[in-house]
Amino acid sequence: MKALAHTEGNPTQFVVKLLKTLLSREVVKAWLVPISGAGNGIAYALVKDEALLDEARPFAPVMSINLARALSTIAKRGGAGKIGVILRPCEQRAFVELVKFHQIDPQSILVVGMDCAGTYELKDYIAFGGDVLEEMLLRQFKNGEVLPREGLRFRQACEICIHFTPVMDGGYSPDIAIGLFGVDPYEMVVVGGNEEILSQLKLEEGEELPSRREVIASVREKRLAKREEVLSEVRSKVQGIEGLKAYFATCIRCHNCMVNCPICYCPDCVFRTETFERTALQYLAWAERKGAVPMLPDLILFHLTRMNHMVTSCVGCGMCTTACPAGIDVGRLFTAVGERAQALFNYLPGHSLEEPPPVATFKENEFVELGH
Amino acid sequence: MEFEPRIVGFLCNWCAYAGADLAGTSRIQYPPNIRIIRLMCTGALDPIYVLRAFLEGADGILIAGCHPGDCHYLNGNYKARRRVALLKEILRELGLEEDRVWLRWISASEGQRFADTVREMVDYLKAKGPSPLKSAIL
Repeated sequence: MKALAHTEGNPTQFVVKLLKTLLSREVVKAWLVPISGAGNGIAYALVKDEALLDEARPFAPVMSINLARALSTIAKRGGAGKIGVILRPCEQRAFVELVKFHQIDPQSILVVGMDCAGTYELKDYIAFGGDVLEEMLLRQFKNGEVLPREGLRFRQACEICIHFTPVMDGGYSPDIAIGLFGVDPYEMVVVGGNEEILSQLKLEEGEELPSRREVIASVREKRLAKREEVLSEVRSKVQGIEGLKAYFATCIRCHNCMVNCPICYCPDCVFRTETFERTALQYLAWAERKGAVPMLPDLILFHLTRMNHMVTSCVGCGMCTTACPAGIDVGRLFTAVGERAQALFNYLPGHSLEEPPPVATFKENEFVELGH
Repeated sequence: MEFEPRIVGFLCNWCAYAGADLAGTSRIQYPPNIRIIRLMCTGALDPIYVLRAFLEGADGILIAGCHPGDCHYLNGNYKARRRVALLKEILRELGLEEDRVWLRWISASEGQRFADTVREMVDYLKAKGPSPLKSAIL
């Protein structure tokens, strides 16, 4: 079912009402949502008090953490009742991957997916006035002329994102999907999803909007062009070990990229185990053999191992880049390699709840030319 | 002095390692360039170990296990095949020489085949040259 819901000049209020309705009717026990935070920023909270939902900022154009990662902390084992969450498409795709990795119990989550035109880094949001940036972006949904504020850029991952709507053709659909492309959110939004839940919201069946498909197609076309440009640049830059080392020249092995990646869920990452606790004798022996050993060693090994472990499920959310204190666009490289790795298995991360991730399955007749 | 490639071999206990052992007991001569690491199954081979060998400057890496369908643990070699496919694709995308990583199926009775594989790899690597990662301090 699809409905056109009137927002009467205040899209945030519309969504807050939706959150409150489903909370008061106990469709959900709590909402995990962005709320206005300290220093004019945005924080995330699991909100149980209906009155506090007035602090929710569902349209704030930021993503300082990938909420799928938060969900895997609180919803690994269900049974405490449903938690509602508003997810951007990349967070939603990470959610789908984590469900398949048994890190989130899908029965205990009610997903509200939303169209996304892009996000800013949180520090830019705070510095340039979040409300102004929010309104500017909301007004761009109608005709799809999505541009960041003068002098600012969207997060690098958003600039090349081509999966920015919550309903994936032939794939996963969230419980509630809020469509913004093709409409003026200050007038109305498109609401789709689970009939039973939508009936609680008393929305009337609406017409399919042809303009929506056109707007989405035109945004995707521009993004695809930018994506091609950016990814081929990184592919040609990082060829051979010297190119790879140069790309990670400023890396300090803080592991922020891994910590913030929603797909890197292993509590015992091999790089934090005793495997990598060496003795002085080992270091001296390596230094003797090789002339010198970098301190700390295994920098390239870390990135290549992480790549082998998670890149087939990389959803391109760019949290790695956002989190990197050394200014490395980790996401750009992982997206570029991930695209090819995923194509090898004909796999689109986050698309299907049924299709097992490439690292979790195999076929008896595949890559037959590889081993012989 | 001619370049002597250094090959790291990850051999599964039940097939490839037994095959290598058979080569030895049958006194089949093969080049000494390979350093063998025994694991119970190629399915237990995390790419991190292959990457470590690669980044430390191994000229070639041989991963050898049971033929598909014959894995002692039923499906370990299928998992290994997929992991090696992914590893090679990643190396290829990054311009790192993925043709230095070989996946071969060698059964416990194929002593000669093991020896031939090592000889084939040594010849290939001698023609190709040493790994560019040897001099890189990583």
